[in-house]
Amino acid sequence: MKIYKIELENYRQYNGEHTIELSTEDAHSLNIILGANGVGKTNLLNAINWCLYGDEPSLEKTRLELQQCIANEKELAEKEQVVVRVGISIGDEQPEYHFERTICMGGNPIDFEEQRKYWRVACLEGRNWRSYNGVDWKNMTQFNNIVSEILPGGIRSFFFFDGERLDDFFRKGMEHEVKKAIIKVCQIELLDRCIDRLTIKSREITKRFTGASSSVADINKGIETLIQSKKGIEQEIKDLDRKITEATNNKEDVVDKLRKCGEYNVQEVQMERDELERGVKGIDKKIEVKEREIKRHFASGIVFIFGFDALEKTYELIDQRKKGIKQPRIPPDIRDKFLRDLLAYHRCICGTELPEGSSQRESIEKLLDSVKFTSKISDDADEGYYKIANILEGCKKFKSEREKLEKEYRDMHEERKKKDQRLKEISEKLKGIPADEIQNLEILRNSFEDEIRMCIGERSQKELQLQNVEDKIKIKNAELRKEIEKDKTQKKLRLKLELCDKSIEVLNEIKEKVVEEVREKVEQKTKEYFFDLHWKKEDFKDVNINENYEISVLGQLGSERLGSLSAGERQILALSFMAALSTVSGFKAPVVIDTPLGRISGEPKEKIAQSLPNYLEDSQLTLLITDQEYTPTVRNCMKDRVGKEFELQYDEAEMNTEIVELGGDE
Amino acid sequence: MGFSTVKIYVEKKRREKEYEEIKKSHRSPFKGKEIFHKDIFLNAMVIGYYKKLRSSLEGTRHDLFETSVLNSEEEWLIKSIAIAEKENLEILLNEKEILKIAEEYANAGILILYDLILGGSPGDPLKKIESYVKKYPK
Repeated sequence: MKIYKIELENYRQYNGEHTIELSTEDAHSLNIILGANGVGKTNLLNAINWCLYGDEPSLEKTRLELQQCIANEKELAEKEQVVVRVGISIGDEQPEYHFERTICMGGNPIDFEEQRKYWRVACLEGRNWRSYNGVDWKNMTQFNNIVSEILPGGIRSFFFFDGERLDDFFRKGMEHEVKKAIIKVCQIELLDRCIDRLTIKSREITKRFTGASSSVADINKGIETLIQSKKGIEQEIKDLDRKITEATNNKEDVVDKLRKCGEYNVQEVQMERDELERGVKGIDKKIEVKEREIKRHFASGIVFIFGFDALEKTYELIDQRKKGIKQPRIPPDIRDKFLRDLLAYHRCICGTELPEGSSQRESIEKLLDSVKFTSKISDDADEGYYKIANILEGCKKFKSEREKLEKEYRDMHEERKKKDQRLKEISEKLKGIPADEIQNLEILRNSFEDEIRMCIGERSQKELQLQNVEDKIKIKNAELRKEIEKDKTQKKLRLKLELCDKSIEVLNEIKEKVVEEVREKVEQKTKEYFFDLHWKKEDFKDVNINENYEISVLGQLGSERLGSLSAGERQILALSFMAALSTVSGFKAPVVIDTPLGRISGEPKEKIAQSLPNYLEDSQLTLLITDQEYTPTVRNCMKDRVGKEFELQYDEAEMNTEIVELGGDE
Repeated sequence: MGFSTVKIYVEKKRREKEYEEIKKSHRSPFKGKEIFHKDIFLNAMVIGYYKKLRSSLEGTRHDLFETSVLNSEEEWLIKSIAIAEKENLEILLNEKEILKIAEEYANAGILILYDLILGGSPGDPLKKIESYVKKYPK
């Protein structure tokens, strides 16, 4: 599927009517939309989301706020009512659907329900749009169903996304975001609904076992309380997620204002802070990776440390036996296989015949009996001798290796502390500037940051609480089943419960299997794209997403490299992950990326740009990009795949952004 | 020569409580590894051996994992404990006895390990386990 055309009318910066006809040729499937900060690139992405899904996830505003701010400001100031409209034509070989959403703003307060009738879709029939004149447009349900067939709302964020926010995926403590993304791609809502329904049914049945014993009622009561507690915690986690997103967006808005502030060197100071914060993210990642390394080193070595005495003792015994001390020398020279071979060939190596029943043969058979056990010990001991020697050698290095890892870990914390200190100084500096607006912005920024930190911490606590409650529910349920089994009177009810439980178990197994398969596919695809896009692929050996949804990038020698990736390399990893998610989802939808190179500065930007033409080659790709990102070198790298280039030009007096198609190679 | 493929047993009640809870716990220093029960068992076994505590399995037994999941270093760790216990290499001929010794040390060690990871006293379980090591080999 490709986007053929986007129509905008009075949508935010886009005053009046505007149309963009994108390139849909397979060979030139890359569209470039150039624009400085603030001219409407992100709002183009918002417009696509708003038209197809009725919201603007990158803004995360409430619907009411959306309605208040969506219309072009100038139009709204001049007219009593303004019609805002966004239309998108989508199709494969040709436009097949035209989606359109309109809203009338200004005048009387808007009845939200009333607005629903303005969401509509038209389908191409022959050469004409069917039901396209506003009379017989399809209703909202049909609209949503058709959009979902093209790209379900739950996974759109892997197709329409902001490059600046990608790094957040791999932030410390955000593994749940990676997990959430993978689960979204699985599209297992139906399975989840079935499991929920069956769980409710199972609960209903257990409540009907009233006669068994008083403990059944007590356990049921206990489970009910735990379920309520679980629901409460789940809701709290959802609320915290919402708060984190809101605070992040609000902080970003404030920081954007500081970035644009031309007074008192605020812009420069903010830029230094941006750089420091990127550094902090990098160090956090390194710390996280080091923590894992320390744990891995510990978990794989400590058993041998505890068992060191036993290993050393065994080594000594084998050594003594090999040297013939204390115990008789092992006769490896007379191996049972050799003796068996002599018996099988009926001839000794000296040429003596060994016929059945002969005394010579009997002698060899006796010898075979006596050596076969010692021979086994000998074989085992030979193997163990060298194996144990290696283990003992490793044990001797364990302490120094551990100290080295701990020191590296402490150094990273030191580095983190220094950066934190500098960040504090910057904040103090901004708060000390004799301009109320700047001071207030800084105070506001800090309060949002505190809120984010607090919410993330609280979220981790809640996750643990949830796990705890879920474990308790499992234990209680097991107790309940035992009690119910004692009740032999209600056989039918018991069978029903068994069926429910078994079905839940099977569905959960299927779900786990699906999620695991998808995780593996995403891991595989992320790795493929990463190696495809990276400019120095020979430095890397592997990319993994483990069962805990932690991502790791291994260097050629197998060491963890995630923490030491440059900002550009992290962006490549994030873009690879997004491409993997969109590919594994199975939907052939267009991809639109706002600021694909994020806030990367210097050389890596061009290196990533060189890789971008290979990015999702089979999809229509539209990049909303700044001119700092789209340098002549970058443009040259992409030229073979670029179908069309547009520029967004903002007219401040008219409060309008014009979309201008750039032509040729000038 | 490796073990033949046989099952490693623990007491059913230990499997249901100590092994499962350590496996599930976020505090476990072995979290995220592929064969989880094996790691817990080996740690329990060496801690039991280290503290010279060994107890026979009582009540219903339950299999925890198969010997096929052990790598050769782990196999030699198990064999070495039996050899050190008997002070004789002849035990290598008796695989059943080797595994019985391992199971019995693990049976005693699992309670200590559980206490270190999930017991009431605060602190990083990794550090607490490490604090058991009297001296490191040099």
